[in-house]
Amino acid sequence: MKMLLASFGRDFLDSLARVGSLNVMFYRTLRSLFPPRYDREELFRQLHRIGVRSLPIVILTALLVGVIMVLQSMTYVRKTGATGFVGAGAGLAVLSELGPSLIGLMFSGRVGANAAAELGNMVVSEQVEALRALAIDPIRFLVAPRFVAIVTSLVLLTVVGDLCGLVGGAMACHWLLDIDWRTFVAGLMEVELLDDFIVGLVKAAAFGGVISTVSSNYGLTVSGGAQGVGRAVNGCVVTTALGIFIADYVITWVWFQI
Amino acid sequence: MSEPTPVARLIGVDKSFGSHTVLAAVTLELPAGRCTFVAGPSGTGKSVLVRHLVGLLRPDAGEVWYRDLRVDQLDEQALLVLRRKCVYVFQHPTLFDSMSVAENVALVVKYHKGVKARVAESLARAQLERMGLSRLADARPPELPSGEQKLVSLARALALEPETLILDEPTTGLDPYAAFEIDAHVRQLKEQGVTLLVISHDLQSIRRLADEVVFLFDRQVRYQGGMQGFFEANDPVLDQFVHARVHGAI
Amino acid sequence: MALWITVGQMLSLSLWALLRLRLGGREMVRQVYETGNRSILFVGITMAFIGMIGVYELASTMEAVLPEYSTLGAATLQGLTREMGPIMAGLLLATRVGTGMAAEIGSMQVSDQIDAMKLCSVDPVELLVLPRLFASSIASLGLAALGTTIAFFSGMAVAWFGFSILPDTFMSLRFVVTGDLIMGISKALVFGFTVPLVSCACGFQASGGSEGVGKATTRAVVLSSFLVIVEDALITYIGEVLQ
Repeated sequence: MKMLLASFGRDFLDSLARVGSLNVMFYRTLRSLFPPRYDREELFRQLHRIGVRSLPIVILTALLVGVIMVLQSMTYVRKTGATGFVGAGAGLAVLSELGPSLIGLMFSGRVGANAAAELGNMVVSEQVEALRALAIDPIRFLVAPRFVAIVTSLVLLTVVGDLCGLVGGAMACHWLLDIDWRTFVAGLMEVELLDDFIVGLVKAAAFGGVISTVSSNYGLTVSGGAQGVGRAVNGCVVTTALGIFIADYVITWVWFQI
Repeated sequence: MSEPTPVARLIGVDKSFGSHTVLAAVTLELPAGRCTFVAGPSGTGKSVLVRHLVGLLRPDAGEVWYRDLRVDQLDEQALLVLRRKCVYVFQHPTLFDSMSVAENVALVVKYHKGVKARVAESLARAQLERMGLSRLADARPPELPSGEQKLVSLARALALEPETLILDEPTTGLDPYAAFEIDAHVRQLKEQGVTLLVISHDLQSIRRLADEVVFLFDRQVRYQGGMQGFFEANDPVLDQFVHARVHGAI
Repeated sequence: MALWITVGQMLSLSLWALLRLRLGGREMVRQVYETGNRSILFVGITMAFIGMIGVYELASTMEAVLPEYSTLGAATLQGLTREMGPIMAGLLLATRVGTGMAAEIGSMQVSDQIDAMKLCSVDPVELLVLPRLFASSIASLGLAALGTTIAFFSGMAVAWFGFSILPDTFMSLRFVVTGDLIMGISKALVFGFTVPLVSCACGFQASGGSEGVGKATTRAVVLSSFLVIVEDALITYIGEVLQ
């Protein structure tokens, strides 16, 4: 019992320390963004590596999410007879909630974990120390361009993903449920979509911030060789997932208050 | 010869990692324009000692000075300014694997001279040229043998045009010829008046280059003084180290 | 490609082990405990947030389409059971457990420990993978059930404080039918099986020091999350056809 309490207490303190260092990382990243002195080439390289290469996985995920949501809202429609729900329910869910959060999760795996592993390797092979010894601020050189690239890409990818999600929903209606896809579109048109689209993008930007901050933090605090890198990637994706849903809740809540 | 002013000083520096004490009350002066060697058996904290000078490590107690700067109290931004003047070269080459050799050097130039990428690249190539390394400019670091990797990381550090250069075991693990080539570059820097601090237990290098030798043993400075004195000191520990005897305190 | 061969080999080995009922005994029990214990807090907290978000979103949709909230609780519970509970638990499992397994096995692979096992004529798949596979399926079921419950109650709190729907009204089982339960359970089992299968295979494919471990871990989380989503769509569709 005592041991259980002790380990619980240690975990609690560890997480507090982690939250603290995440905040420091976020603050230092923001500070290094002003004045905006980015290395433009580096930024474009990162945008290509991060944004363009994640496109296939994002498109596939979004299509499937659209399909799943249409199939799921069908069960509700059958019980209540509200056919409009196929389009409206699935559309709203994809735009404001599931699109951003699932794309965010996939992006966190594809890009966040990758960034943590990359930075971790640089720490393990003393390349980060070498940067500091060469008087180059690792935050400005390694973290800031990634931050900008991750936030930008995730917002743009969410726009693409939203579209694919809706297309996926329409396709599911047409081929899997034998409902004319126009019914889906009509249901979609009944509701005000713009607000949900915008809140989805706000969420995507916030998730991008979470992913970048968490992955940089875990990557730059790696210790202990190959095992350490594995542990850091694991910790990074777990913390990111938690962060994404907390941010998601906060934004949803604030949105409802307005 | 008049006594040169110290460019850097450590005063009563303590450093432990957990329960393992590495340095206990170490006091040390680094004379300007001279070549000082730090020697000592493996694991006596030579690297730990010199990393204090550029703020990569902070002491548990004691003071670290670089000219009139109190290094152990500077924040990360101020340290960046210091590290432009006083450059530390790691034992392992720590080159950036994803970039070519020229890009590795150009990175430093671009950041510190605030020039466009293309200008930085040509300055970097000029630097490599001066060191006779032009043939390596377009290679990727992992393809190179370790001697050449070390030369490149030296070139990268020199792109900062430092007034003080700290080399961590520059010749360890190299074949005699590669070691000789590194030493030749170090000699050239010495002639240019760069203050040098070299960690090494390569006795040949010490004989070739040292003005001063600092010998670390059992958490403390065992010897500090001229090179001749180091080899002739009447101290059993130094004697064992210099003559590689099997029996003794080490 | 080599990855899928490894996955295939592991799949056939594990099915064979399942047929002979050799599931790994004590090691498997230990793994159930490990997997569950490592993820319970993470899944609990995350699912609480997901429940709250879900109710907000569902309520806003209902407001737009039906303008009334009487079916909010029943729909939430059904949605959680059929869909959000298992898929989120699966994704969180991929995040928490999948990356952990890939990192662990990947580190063993790059430090030649796997080869050392083979030299002692111990089959690494039998020793490392099989217990994890079955353990993770069981743990996934437990985590999905727990997650669904937590999400439902946190959703209930939001309905109560945010939309003034009393818990009595919210707590309604009238939508959930046996089919929903079967769908939820089969999803959780399948996800629980897929995640370690893919993640361990990625771990075995690791090569080249800490960089290799990092790559293997990244690959594991992306592939297993993506497969969870694909399988979810498939199972949902099969359920739709059967109804």
